[in-house]
Amino acid sequence: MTYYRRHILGSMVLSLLPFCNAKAEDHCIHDDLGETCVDKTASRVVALDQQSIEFLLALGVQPVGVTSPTNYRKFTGNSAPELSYSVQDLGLSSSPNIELTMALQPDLILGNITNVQKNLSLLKEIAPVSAFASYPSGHSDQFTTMLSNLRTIARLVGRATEADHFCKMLDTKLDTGYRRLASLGLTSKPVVLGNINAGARGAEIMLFNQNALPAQILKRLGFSYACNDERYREKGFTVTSVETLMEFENADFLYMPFNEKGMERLIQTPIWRNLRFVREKRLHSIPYRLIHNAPLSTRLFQTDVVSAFQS
Amino acid sequence: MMTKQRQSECIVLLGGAVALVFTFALNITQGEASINFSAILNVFFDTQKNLTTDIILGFRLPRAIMGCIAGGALAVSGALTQSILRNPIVSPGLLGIHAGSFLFIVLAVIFAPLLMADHPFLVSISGGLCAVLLVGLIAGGRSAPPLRMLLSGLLVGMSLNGLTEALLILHEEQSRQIIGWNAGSLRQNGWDNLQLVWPWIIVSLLLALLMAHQLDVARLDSDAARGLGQKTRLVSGIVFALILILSGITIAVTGPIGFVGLVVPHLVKQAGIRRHAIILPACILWGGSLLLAADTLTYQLGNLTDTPPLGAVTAMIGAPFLLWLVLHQSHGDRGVILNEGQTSRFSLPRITYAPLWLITVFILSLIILLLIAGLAWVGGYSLSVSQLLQALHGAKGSIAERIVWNIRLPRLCNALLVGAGFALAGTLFQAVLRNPLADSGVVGVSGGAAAASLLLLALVPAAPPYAIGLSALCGGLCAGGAVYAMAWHLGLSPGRLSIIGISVAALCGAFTQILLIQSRFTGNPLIWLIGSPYGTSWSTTSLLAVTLVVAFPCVWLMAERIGLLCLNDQSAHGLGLDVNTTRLLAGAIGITVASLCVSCTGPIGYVGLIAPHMARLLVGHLTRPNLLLAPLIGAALVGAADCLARVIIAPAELPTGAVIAMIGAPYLLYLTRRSLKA
Repeated sequence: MTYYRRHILGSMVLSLLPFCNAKAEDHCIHDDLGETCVDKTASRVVALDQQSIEFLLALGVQPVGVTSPTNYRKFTGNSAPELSYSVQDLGLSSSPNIELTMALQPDLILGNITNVQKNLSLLKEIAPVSAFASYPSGHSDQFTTMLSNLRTIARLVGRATEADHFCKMLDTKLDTGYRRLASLGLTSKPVVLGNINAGARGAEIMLFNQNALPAQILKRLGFSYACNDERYREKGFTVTSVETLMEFENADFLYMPFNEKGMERLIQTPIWRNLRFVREKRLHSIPYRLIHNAPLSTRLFQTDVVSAFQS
Repeated sequence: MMTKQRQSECIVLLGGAVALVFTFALNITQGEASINFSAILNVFFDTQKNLTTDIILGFRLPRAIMGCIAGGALAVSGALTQSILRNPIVSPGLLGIHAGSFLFIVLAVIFAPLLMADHPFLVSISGGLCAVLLVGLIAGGRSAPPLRMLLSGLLVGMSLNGLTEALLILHEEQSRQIIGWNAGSLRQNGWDNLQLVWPWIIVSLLLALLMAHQLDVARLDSDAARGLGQKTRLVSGIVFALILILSGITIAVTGPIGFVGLVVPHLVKQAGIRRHAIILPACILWGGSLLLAADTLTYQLGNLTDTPPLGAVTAMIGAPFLLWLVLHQSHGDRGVILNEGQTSRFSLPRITYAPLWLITVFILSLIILLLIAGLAWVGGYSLSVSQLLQALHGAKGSIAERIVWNIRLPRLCNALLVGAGFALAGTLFQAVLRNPLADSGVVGVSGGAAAASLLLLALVPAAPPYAIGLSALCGGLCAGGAVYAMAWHLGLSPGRLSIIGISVAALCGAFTQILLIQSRFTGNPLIWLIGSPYGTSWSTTSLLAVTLVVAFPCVWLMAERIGLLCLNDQSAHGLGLDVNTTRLLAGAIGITVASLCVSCTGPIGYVGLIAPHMARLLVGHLTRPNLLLAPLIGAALVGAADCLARVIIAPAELPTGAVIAMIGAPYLLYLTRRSLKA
């Protein structure tokens, strides 16, 4: 019980600390949890979701512990820079193993709001926690949000130069891609992107809205993006059936098959076969990636798009 | 008289036909692409083919036809179930068929994707069959009283859903896709499914119609039926097969759509129809119209992302209907529904005659062993005994010390306390509802809490855990309070309380379902639905401890009066008990304790059910010893389950609620077998 009392006193003292304002400005950032500060540049970082792993790897930092590393490798293909195989497995994203996290003695924990929500106070006792909302309010363009998240994290781990470098590299790639596509006469061509899933009863199409990250990449590659609906801005996508594609017949359709069964079911429907972009073969398949708020996958996505149009 | 009967039969059938045609036409106009009515008419009169033709003929027409067939099949299977069980308040959905099918489908998608791709119907039907068999076993066979059948349905549904949720949590990526299956919907991807399904359903419906006369006879009691020359076994066998085929196949195609089978047959009978030869066709017509109308309603709210699942819409219509049925039914019918008096208790002999102090000491030492084992070995980090001792002495700042004091000890304490709390609440509910199958799920507490937490998460995605706990508390209290308030007018009889509780739970479930579907792509909503002391700290411990310290003495003081509640009302009155006040007080304490526990860890089912049973096995029906032992057993159960949950798939963790469900279901079966033998 004395311990308990000590503990309460301790947390009371800690809660007064922000008023002392003794910390260096550099080590404090604003994220969707409020203000997060680290004592010194963080080097032992734990990542509690796939996006955080990508942010760290993009900045050249190997995390010391991650949740579901097998899933990360499976769903991203673990392309360079690779996630080290010696990384500590912390269990599921929704319930990371707190003891193992503590034993790693990290100096920063990264995650997203929904994953750290349930155990925030425990995680905060271990190390400063920084988390981003998956779908922040304000309905902003998700590409810019991703880049600003990257820079924010870079400040915590002292990798501002690497962040600049990554952004510049992405810019150059987009620029090269733009010119290559322009040489094919594709500038301002209307396109729309969907993610095809088998669904429980017929193919489901996750249709991206103009403010979604992949749509923004397509815009920066010179295309004009055809789907822009105020209702879908909050999440940047809507899940719908093939009926909706009727509205986008004039655009080229880019699709990412989430599973084979999904495409099979889509092709079965006569609607699909009679859509103008299908009849005129203005269809482009792109490998499935989880691009949302994920820098490495974003980079790969733009390469995929350029090569899809070149072939 | 005869002509009046004929007249109402004609009106019901004709009205059904008109309603079906109208809703069918209306349904075709609705969908994701906006197509106006004249364009739709053109499809049928123009020979020119275009995209609109494809959409209407390839998507909407099969959808509407599926609506007719599914609605008809569900309504008829409901009518058959009610007649053959002579039970006016059951429908296949309430007997756990949905939960069984969904569990099997999730299992198949995760572990045998090929089987699922090739034989989805087989998977779904066998799941339904298993669930129904379980329900029958637990309720004690076909002649079980209506209420008991319903409660065992609820129970089996709860435990199967618990397993399903655990599987989904473990397979995060697949779960987003599978959750979609559980949202009932009529959507079709062309004519394939329909072609596969219609022969089965049409043949079954025809068979059911041929059985109409036998059903008229079977609705009487079985002796009378046998007296009239019916081969009762053969008839009930055929009817059960028909029920399984009709509802199983429909569920495989449309996903779970509940309550159609309850509402439609009732409305038809309400209109004064008595003969099955008319009831069944009327059910087909009105079932189809109801389902199509509900489906048409869902499109008003947007496309797949925003559309509420059809199953949730029918539950939103059906659950209040069940409530209305209980609250406003004529006295005679109510008697049929609520007649649960005679066999509502498991008549189990004690298994030991050891003195109470010995049993108590035994369980306490089990708990202490659990504490030691939990502190030393359970969790990701391995500690040696000397490290553990040092940590307990308070070797400041070491990792071992922080793990023991900040993580393991509070979590273990919370598991023990929450187990005790749920068990205490369960004991109270079983006394108040005078039913051994009662639990905090039955009075709506778990459902209300789950719905309220998800609602808060939908409104404020980044809400802190204490706010979510608070909203769970409010949800539990509101749902429990509502159940009591509604039952109050009818004199708080156990039967009414239970059915009102089941309806409220179903309503909350529908609401949860809608929120779950909406947030499946953007969040991790499942972790709030299945309880675990994961991530709880000392502040939770103090809240739980205060709850128990206040509640336990109150219950202890009321012990004798609570004991009298188990008798029937007249005897209790005769012994000078104010039955209603006692029921109200005990129920209020139960609801408060259960809500507080749910708000701390999320709903952990089964403890409140099993712990009181185990206590009764050990000390018989004495109230005070039961009130002492049940919480102790509950504590040991949840403590052990939580340790297991952290060990089985380390470093990942299972939700504790799922582990309890895995222990609980077989135990309950064992208990039932014993009570049947006794």
